Amino acid sequence: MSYPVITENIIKEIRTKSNNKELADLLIDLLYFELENPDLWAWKEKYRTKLKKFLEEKGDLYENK
Amino acid sequence: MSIPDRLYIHTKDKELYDMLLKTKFFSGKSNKELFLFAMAIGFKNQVRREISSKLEFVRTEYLKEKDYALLYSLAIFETGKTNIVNNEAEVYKIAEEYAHGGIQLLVEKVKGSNSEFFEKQLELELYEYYNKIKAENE
Amino acid sequence: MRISRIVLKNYRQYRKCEIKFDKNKENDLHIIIGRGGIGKTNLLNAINWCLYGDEPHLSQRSSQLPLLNLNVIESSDDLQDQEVKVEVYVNFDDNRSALFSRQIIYRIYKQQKLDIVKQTEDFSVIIRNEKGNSEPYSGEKAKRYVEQFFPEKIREFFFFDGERLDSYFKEATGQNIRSTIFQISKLDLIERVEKKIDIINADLRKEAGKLNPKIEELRKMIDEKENDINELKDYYENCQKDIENVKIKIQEYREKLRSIPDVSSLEKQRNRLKEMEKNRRNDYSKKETEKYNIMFEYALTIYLWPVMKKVLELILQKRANKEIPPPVNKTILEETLNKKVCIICDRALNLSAEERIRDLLTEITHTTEISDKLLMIESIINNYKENLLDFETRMQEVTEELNSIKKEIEETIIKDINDIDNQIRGYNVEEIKLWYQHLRQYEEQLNQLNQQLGFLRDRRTNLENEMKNLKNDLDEELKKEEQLEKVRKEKQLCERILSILTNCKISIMESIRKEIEEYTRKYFFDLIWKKETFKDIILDGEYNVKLFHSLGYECLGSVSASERELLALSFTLALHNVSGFESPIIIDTPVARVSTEMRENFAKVFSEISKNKQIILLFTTSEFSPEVSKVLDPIASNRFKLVYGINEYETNLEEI
Repeated sequence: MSYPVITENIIKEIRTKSNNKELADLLIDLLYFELENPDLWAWKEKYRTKLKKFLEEKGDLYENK
Repeated sequence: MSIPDRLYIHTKDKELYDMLLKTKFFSGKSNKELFLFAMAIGFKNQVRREISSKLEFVRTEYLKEKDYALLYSLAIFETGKTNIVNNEAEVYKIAEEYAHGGIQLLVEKVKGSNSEFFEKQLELELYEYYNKIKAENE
Repeated sequence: MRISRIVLKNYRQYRKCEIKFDKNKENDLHIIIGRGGIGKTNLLNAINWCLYGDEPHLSQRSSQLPLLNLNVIESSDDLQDQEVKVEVYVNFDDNRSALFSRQIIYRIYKQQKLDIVKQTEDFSVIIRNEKGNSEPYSGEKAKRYVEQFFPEKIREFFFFDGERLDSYFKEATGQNIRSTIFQISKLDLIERVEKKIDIINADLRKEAGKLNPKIEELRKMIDEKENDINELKDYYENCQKDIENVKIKIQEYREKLRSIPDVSSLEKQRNRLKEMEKNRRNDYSKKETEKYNIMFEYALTIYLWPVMKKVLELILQKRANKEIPPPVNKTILEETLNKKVCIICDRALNLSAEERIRDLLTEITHTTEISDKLLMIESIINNYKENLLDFETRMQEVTEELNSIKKEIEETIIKDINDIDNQIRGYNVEEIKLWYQHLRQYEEQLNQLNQQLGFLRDRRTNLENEMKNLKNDLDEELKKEEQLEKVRKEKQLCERILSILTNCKISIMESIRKEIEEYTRKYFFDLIWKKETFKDIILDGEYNVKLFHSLGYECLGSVSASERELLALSFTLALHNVSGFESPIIIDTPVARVSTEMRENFAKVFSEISKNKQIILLFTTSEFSPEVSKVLDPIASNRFKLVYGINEYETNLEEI
């Protein structure tokens, strides 16, 4: 049995590897969401909402990079 | 008087010479060489023995000048007369009788110890005599 | 974090036992000594049972006995309930504390046959904060606290069985260490999100497929390809496992053979030397024959020397007397006879004169023959005389040559042969040859496995390329449709996210690996008693621990048990350090495999470690030898002894 945690190290790595602040923020958001809602039944919906929202608002910036 | 064309040994000596041939020191030597060596041993020990039953051993045609020199010298020494050199029959007889005396001693010398020991002893003896000769001539 | 107290009630041998681990001295070191069979290892089991509900170190005997103390069972009535409880009290640095408690209630049935039936099992954690307020947790939440402080997956890195430390690195293969490091890296969260995004990605493909059959086809192909890749991944991992096992075998044989000479090549060398010996002996024999020939040659001269000497004298005399060569010239006489006139005085010969000359001629002829022979003899004997002088030199020369050959045979060749024999002596040559054979077989196997791995790797690359192409094709198809635009964008985002998360994982694992390697190195070289023997420790990319001798070769398999144990301890400390887990270290039979000479060193190591971390050591009486007690007795915070209670089914603790 293992319990997930978030560490500063992980955050740092995500920012480095994303190479894009908006995208990093999205990822970090997803991680925190998972942390706070570990056994959510309707997780898919929530995830996809986040993804779609990101594309709508920040899609252009992301695409251009 | 015809000059004999053979050098003879005693019949019983044949097996002694055969025995010598089997040793490392004497293996491969000719009858002539063995005969002369036996003769030298015979002389060294001053043993000259008559041969009652002869067996031919060395053909004189194989004798070289240096071999003759030894045979003649021995005869001169033995008789005290230099004209013995014209009497080949007598010269041979003397040589044969010394060889006959010498072969027994030689075989004893060789047999009496294991062969390595014989060579070592011989070496020492030769050095002993040699040193005496050297001292004499200085 | 340290364990302050353990309380056991009716747990196996421990009917009623409380162990207080107060830190009385600078060293947070606690010693418990017990004879074999008295229940020492069950203390370790008790802690495991309390925290995780299992007992990983049960002996054969204990595993056949019930959890409930036998005396308690004996003294119970029919239908009586009895409780088994173990409590572990923990203190944290920040003045918080926790109590882990597990209990099982059993009902005893004695009517017909003896039966012990579990009624309930409860596990709880009570956390007390610095203010003194307590909060109890049970169920999942309680388990979470255990996971936080004593993560189960890596418990073997703080609750040790000393007996197994020897095989620590043999069994803790790259895979084990890898998963431990994964645990420490706290990448669970990333993996969870990763999984979920992957599912979404698959869904998006399905969606796109529904709108466009070609896309559906591609999606199916992508799924299939994904399966292929996963299947390949399994093969690949199995191949890697096999390689690891073969490498262990190879290492084993190499260590076996390390100190043993390469027997087959030594045998070849020996044969060569023997051949040489034979040849040189032949040379010796030939030279010996040469010497004997010289002796034979000179023997005649030497023995007949008196003869030669005398003859030379005689001839000299004759010459002095003018007897040789003869004074009368034979030719003159012959001519005189022929002409019948004296050549010298020219007078005619009368009969008596003629007769006299004829007689003279006969005599002279005779004499001349002799004289010629004598002159020949003289000349030859002088030759012999001259040659004789060389006897000594020639003999010396040949004797020297003989000696040098003999010397060569004895001092070089025979000596070398003996050296080889000494090296091989005492070794069972057949067995060694067999080991070499096995080693070569394993090496061959390794080659084949590596080849296979390479092949799998290539195949994987191919599959991944094919996958990439399919995905590109899918994207191309998606591009064509406007309605699919959104789907495509979302898919792209998912893929980007997945790629970032994978990279993060790799990067984090890598930096943790490096950190652990560094700390292991630091601890090992700090604590090792013979610093010059070893050069380095690495934790390689495959998560295998490697120890390097100062001469450069890997020596993990061949170092002593003590050094291996020290390495295991260093590794553990490194893990603790890097993972942030501060749990105490408990070792059962800590120096079982350690030789007596090394025990003192080990005791010093424990002493050192316990300055910064709580260490609880469970010794057998024979383990706790003078070398150990000399070091540990003065510094230990507590020393306890396990003794039997009223009978052997009950064990109590006594302070020493």
